[in-house]
Amino acid sequence: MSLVFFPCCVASAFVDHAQIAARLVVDKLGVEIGDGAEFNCCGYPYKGIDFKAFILLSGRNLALAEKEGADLVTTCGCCYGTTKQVESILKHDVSLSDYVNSALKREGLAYKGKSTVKHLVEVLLDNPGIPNLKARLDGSQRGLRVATHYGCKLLRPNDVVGFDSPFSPSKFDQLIEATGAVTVPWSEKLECCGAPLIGINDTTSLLLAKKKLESARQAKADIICTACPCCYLQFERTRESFTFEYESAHRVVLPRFKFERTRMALSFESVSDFNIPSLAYVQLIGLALGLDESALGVGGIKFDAGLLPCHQAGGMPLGAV
Amino acid sequence: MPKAALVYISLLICCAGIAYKVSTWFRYSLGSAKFTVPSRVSAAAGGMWETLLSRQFLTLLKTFFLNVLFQARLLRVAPLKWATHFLILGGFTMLLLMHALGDYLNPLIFSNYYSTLNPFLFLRNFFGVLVFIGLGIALFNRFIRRDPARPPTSFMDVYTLAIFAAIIVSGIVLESVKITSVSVFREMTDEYATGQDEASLKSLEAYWVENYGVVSPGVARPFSLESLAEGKDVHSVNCAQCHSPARWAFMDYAVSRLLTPVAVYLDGDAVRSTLYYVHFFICLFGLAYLPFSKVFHLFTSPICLLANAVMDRAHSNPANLMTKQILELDACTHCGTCTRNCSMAFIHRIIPNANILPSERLASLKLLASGQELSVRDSLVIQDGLNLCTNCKQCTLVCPVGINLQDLWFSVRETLVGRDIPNLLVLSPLSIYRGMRKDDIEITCYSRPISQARKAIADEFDSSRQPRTVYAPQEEKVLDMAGIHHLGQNGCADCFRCMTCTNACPIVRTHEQPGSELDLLPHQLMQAVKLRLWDLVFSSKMLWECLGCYKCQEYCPMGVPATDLIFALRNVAISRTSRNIFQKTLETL
Repeated sequence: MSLVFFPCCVASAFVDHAQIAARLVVDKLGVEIGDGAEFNCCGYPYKGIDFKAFILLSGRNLALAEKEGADLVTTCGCCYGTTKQVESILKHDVSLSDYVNSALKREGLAYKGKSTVKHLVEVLLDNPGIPNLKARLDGSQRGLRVATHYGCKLLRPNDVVGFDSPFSPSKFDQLIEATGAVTVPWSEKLECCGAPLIGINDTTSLLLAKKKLESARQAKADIICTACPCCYLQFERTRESFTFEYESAHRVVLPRFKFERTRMALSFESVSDFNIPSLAYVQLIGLALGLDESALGVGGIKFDAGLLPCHQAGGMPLGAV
Repeated sequence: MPKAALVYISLLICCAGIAYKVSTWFRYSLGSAKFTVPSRVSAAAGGMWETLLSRQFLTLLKTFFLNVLFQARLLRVAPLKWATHFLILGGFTMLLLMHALGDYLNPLIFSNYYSTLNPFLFLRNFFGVLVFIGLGIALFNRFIRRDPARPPTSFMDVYTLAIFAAIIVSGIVLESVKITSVSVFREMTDEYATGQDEASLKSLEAYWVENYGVVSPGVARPFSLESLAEGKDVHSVNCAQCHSPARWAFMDYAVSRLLTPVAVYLDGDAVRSTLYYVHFFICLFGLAYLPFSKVFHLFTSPICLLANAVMDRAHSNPANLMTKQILELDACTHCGTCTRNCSMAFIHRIIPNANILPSERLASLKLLASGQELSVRDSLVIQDGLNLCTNCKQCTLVCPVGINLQDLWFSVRETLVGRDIPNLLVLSPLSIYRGMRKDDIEITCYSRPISQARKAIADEFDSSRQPRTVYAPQEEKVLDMAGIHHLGQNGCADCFRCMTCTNACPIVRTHEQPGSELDLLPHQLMQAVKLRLWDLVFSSKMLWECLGCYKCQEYCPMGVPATDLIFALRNVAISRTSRNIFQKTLETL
């Protein structure tokens, strides 16, 4: 089965550099992943709005991949979990499967269950695999302490996704350890990053992420590495927001994330408990492969003022946090 | 009326139209901000002045050559469209310069200009054919290939293709009739072949019938060789200097061959002047109507490309950003590239709301921007279509004329928030984009849609409501958790309140007093579903703030699909409430 790349809407809009980094990494590793088919949204946001639309959207993506005789590859945990769930529903629910196929008929598409969706982590573990990967990586990340974040949809519901153990997952850690980095145990590892509540309840959303940042900091991690671009976006936005607030309150300027390969420990003075940078896994692997930092978009997300909730005076009741 | 007067009148209408259109760029508004017209005009003037004096001028220059003249953006996203567009644009521009304005422009460049001489005779046909090929590809793609991803053809699309085709066709027919006309031939001999005797003129006529496509009842084939030879002599002395062989006008000549059998009947001043005026009036109509048609993008698209090359949200004056957005509405050519790349366009097939398709939505935005009083129903339809957008930014990245569609959708969404029609989709992760751009939203407006939507749903399921809510059989099924196969057999029937879900829930953990702050804790939510306390279920904060992280479902010892259940409940609440909102607005009409 060949592979075809499936882009994520949120990543495309906000952290496209993570998708570009994914492309650079797979090209460098010689993993063949095609581009091209005109996919639509995976349907994740529609799950709670219009269930049939949700099924149909992912059903169409799977059918498009099936037509090309390929499996979908996504860098995003939410797209992965969503498509995986639809795949499982279509397998078990004949009436929904008929509904999807009759709707796709006009385009000459049909989904018969041959194609599936794979997360890029899965793909990399499979080919080139850990031993080959270790041989290719330059070991420049040796000793870097990483708090790995899987993302909810990659682990749960396990009977549908079946990616790894939902209670003590290790696959993503293995991939990160292949770069020479050390993965640290941290208490909030399996929790949600809070991204689904952005725009619905920003306070709760930021609190959830802050809790995770603090936990990773307490575990003495240098960075958080996420298996999903949405979580990466959420962590970075939260860090920037609280940094901004901290700076305004204390009239100081906190050191910004600067990734220096020679200096493994990124431990700038811990003036604040949340000030821990995040990287998408493709960026970390890219660095370990010797790819250019700026090409991978390392150095944090360029947030223009409009993307930070705290920049607005009185915008966020963060003082209480 | 003299022709020149007609030309000036249509030019005047065209200019007045353009002036009117330009004025709308400053008068119409989108988004929540308010600016006065004079402040927008002065901001625009100031902005342009600053840009021209800054280093950004170089950016403008680069954009002008790369994207305006060469249309690199279009080439990148749609090479065939680029070729088609270039054939039509290039061919027509050249015809305009060397044919329509030829009598004025050509003599400035060429010392010996006669429209009947080569290369002009040939080039006119050549450029006409370019336009023709371009139109042919466009028509083929639109009406014969029928790509399902292409947005529906609008009246304006048909008009644009038709006006160009009509101009070219009428021109070709006129020219081919002139080629066959013996009276035109005689007029010319009267003018240029003076002093020739009757016999030489007969020979000349024979020569022209034989070689130049004239159809004459006065001379009959076959012609003798001597007569043709004499005709050739007369021709080379009197005609050849100013008239290249008619065959060089290959399209006109080919059509004239088809007209041969009826040429005698077409030979007359009345026919020729009718054809001439048809051609002339179509051109003038096209000119006068230009600012109101799709062809207006000739001006707006370049401005849009240039403006977007130097403007951005972080640095530009908000008044100018709004002006630019209104201009962008005029710059759209309805080419459908956005719809083709839209990650939600597909859903249009099951939700037949044209506003889902970005290219169609733009038309609605024009109405909205003009400040016309939209009916609640129309606003609702626009809002519904607009809010299904995932904000994946693809439309903005591919738009050949560089319209920042992403920002347009954002402004319109905020304009609609001001109209206070509950928008239930804000309760889904589609709100991520809005949340990320919180800074661009009036703080008083920011949380309004969420509380509004929550209230609409709570009202819908209020148990004290009279008459009491009646559920359709399908809904009953979903509410009973029996009809959803993927939820497993028992739904929440197996729940025995062990509170594992509540203990696992990250939302519960972020609240100090979760019991009162969330209305219902996850295990209580399950109980409320079991007891069919729908008013409690649907108004609870827990239901709408669930992250969908699946921890409760994963950890449940009884296999209750708690998270999937929450999504199913949201589906019921949203579909039911939005249907009733729609019905209510219809009733109030």
